[in-house]
Amino acid sequence: MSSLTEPVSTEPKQDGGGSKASKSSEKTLLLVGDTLVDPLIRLLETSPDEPKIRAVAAPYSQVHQVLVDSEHAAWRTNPDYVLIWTTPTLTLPAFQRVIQFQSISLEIVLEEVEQFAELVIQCSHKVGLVLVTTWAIPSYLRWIQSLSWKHHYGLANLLARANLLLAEKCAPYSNIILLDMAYWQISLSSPAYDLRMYALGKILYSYPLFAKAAAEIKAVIRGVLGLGKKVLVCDLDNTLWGGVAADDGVESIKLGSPDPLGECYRDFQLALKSLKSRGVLLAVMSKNNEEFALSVIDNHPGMVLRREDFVCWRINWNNKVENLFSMAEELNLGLEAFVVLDDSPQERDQIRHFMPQVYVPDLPASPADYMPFVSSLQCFETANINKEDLERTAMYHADRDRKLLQKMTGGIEEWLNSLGICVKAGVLKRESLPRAAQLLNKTNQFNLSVRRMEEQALWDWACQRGNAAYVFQVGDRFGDLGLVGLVSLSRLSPRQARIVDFVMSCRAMGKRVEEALLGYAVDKARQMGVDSVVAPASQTARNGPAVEFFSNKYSNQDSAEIDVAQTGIPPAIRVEET
Amino acid sequence: MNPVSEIRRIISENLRVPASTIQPDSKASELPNWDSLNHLTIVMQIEQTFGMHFDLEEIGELNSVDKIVKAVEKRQL
Repeated sequence: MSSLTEPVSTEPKQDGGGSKASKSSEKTLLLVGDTLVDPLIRLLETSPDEPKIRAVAAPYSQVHQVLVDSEHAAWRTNPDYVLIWTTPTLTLPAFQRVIQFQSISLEIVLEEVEQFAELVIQCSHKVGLVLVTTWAIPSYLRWIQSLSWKHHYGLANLLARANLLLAEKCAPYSNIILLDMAYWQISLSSPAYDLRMYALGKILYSYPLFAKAAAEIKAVIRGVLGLGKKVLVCDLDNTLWGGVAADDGVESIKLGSPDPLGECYRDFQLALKSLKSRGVLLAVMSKNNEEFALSVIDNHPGMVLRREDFVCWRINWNNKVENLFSMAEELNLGLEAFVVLDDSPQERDQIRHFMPQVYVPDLPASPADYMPFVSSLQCFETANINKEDLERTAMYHADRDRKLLQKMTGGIEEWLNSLGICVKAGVLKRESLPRAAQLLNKTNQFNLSVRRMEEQALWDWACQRGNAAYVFQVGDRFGDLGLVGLVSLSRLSPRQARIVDFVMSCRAMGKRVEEALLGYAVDKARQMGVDSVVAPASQTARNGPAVEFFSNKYSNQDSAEIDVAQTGIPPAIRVEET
Repeated sequence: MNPVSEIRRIISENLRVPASTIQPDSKASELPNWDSLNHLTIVMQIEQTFGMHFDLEEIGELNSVDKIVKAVEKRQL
């Protein structure tokens, strides 16, 4: 990590990793396959899902040449990302020999996998993200079933080891993502391979497989860019349980065993609980009596989800559009972060009509399909899961308690003092990089320049001479908010530095934490002799809070120069260096 | 679903030409970008859209809008 005290650097670029990453911009994906994968191009380009992708296919069956040769014509497309799609029988010659029963040698198969992994790793140095399909046994190929998993030489055994070795070799590189080809294949209700098209034109995979692949590839890229949804809002009657509790009676609702329908609703709740466990916020929105409905949630023996699993609820007779607005306000999130599951077509239609940003999928006709449906949703994709994700609901609950205390205590100062806020500040380190990149890419509201960068690009930029990045962990007596802030600086001249990124999670808003972050950043800049700090904002439709905060700090609006006299750590906040 | 307009849409999308340039009597050889690869992707997408499969020998013969429409309609009967 470089520091600000090092010599002057140039004006910061969009990013330092060579990719053109910007959340809203189109991404160019280079497809490198050992069979023709061109049908993916149209599927990726015509899909309305974010982000917009321009797909370009390298000449097929030139995987090695394209990946090794930086001068290959395929690289002239200047891709942001690369997809490497290979078939074991074509890319691993030893594997083909296994199928032919010519020779069976684990060592040779693994040697070929290592060589392939080396190509993938080389590629990961050229672009921001490398997607690699894992290897699956083609469904048309029946090997000797009694030997397929035989240790050291069974076909399935060898392929599993090949995939494991590939995963192991790629593990140190955070911008390599392995895609689960076996899952793509088994998730289809039709064949994954089309041997007619392979005979005619070397297109080995079927159209449904390409469609599945395109959807999953887009989901993965959304996860990398932090475009995943954040909140899942559920109705109660005929959604979380079968029947209408208030009409049918609590004892008659279908929920839990031994009733078959009740088991379906329990399995559905288990799927929702697992989403919550990995960082998706759950909420309830139901036309019901609040006290009654909460008593069902708290006490029904079949409930998997309990009150503490929900970050908030609106159980009342208001219309659901109003309720969603108020939940978005309470959670400090945009409407596009929300997904609503509701059994009523009328309610779904109303929300879609008035809030097109909210994703409101139709529920399957049968409750037996609810669990697989929610499990297969692609909108919650994430590139990694960190401590903040695992504890997100608890953190929001703590925030609710803080607000309650604010109501009970007098003025804002008194309340802030009573919180005992502690900000732990330090230079960006490798271990905090995934969360820092997540913050940079997911935060919309308190984000000064809305610069979107992949992990490696952020790290490379922060390591450049004259640049520095700091991360901030915030906690108070109610609990730990986690790593909620990222500020980066770049020295523009011997006397002037620029705040490039100033990003703070909405969880930390309203507690003057932003003042502490700015005070800290200005201190850092001044410690190395800089007497002028500028912080130009890139205004978007969503980053009003950050723009407003900074516009009150400028001594000059045109130059975006910070009036340092207006900065400092608030007395109620303790800042510790880490 | 009107098969003719749907087929024209699929062809125009894959060839990246306006749908208006795809006429019922258009032949593959007369349309820009209709190469062997685009031919196969068009056939794959048509099969998927209409839920049908053409025989291997038949696929090569689907070299005009009219022939594709007739092949689709024959299977829809």
